[in-house]
Amino acid sequence: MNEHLNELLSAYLDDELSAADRVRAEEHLAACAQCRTELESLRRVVRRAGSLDDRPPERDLWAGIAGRLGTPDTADVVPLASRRRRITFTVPQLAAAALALMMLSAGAVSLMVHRDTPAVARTPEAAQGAATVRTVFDPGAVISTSYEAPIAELQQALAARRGRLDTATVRVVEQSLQLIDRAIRQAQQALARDPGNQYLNSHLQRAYDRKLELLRQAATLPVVS
Amino acid sequence: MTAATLRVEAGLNRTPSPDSQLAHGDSERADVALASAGDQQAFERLYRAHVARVHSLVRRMVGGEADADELVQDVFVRAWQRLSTFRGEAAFGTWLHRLAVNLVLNAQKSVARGRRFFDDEALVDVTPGRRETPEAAMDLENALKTLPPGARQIFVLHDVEGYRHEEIGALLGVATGTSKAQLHRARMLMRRHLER
Repeated sequence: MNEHLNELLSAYLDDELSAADRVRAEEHLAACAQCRTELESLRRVVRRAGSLDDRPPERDLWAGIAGRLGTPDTADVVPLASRRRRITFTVPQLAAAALALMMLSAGAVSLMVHRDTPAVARTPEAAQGAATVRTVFDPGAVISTSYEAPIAELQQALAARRGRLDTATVRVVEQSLQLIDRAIRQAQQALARDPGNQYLNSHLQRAYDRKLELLRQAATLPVVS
Repeated sequence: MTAATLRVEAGLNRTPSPDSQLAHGDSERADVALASAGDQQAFERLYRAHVARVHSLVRRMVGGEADADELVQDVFVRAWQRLSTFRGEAAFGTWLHRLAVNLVLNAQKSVARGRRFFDDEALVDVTPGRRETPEAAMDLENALKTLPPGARQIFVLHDVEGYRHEEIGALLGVATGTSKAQLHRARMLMRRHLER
């Protein structure tokens, strides 16, 4: 290899030569001061390029970005006549609330059921008595009935607009609804065993309130153009 | 996983502790989920966390601050629009990095349409991409600006970002040999500018 290495210097530096070419390049380098100097210069360039630090832009670009992000996924709440006041949440906030509710529900309901159920209720006779009470008065069913109509109405409104909404948002809403429904089912089951429990009653009511609020938000989400 | 991916996922030149990395990853995942549901505040947090990285990449690839500002804004707007396509297989930073590279390359292809993007050797050696600064020794960032666009992109992708020639060839639609030849020319030009 009598000519200078030229492009082979970069290939040598990047360890991209075959074993045989590498040996030939090293033989040439041993004899050629010019190629050795060039190789060291290239090595310095590569080393410096690999150690560059990042730096932010000279001006804040966020305002220009935010102005182009389109309509945010927050919507005004449509007030229901029966509501005392309007509370506005974003969908992500509601999703987070649903998750928190789910975790609270699982822990709290389990705690209530195991702590408050009298020992005698575990006997067959007591269980039969409890079943009799359930057929006479089921507060869970009473609460559920009072929410049925507005929830059904909002679910219909959401279903009608579902195809025009952002799919990612719909996914978040549906996952949140599943969590809330699970919390509602757990509260209802616990109430069936312990109908007079004040905590479980208000817990069930809160879960329904959250479901209603999430559906209200979802029913008024902006459509994707 | 490529070297480029590793560099991005590792946060490049920063070396946070494992605990802070974990916490950062969790909060970033939460912000990505919130942003994809339409939360602009969460998206702004993602912007703040990644803007230096993205801007540095774009600035080096295009060779100028003003052009980079516009493209970086485009990158984040595009990211916002496409957040629903982010599946979380890679880190958000890696996804954003690839988005930025593609966007810059597409923008440069539009500019380069109608003329040769990769100058021949004589042109590369004689004609710098930008006017040279009077300083005897330019720093590397400034030296980058003097490279012809095609050679600059390959130099940035390979030597700064850690992409392999096969990846660069696929991204730019050129042969691997072209990528290698342009890289060597870019290095020689950089050497000349830095040692002047």
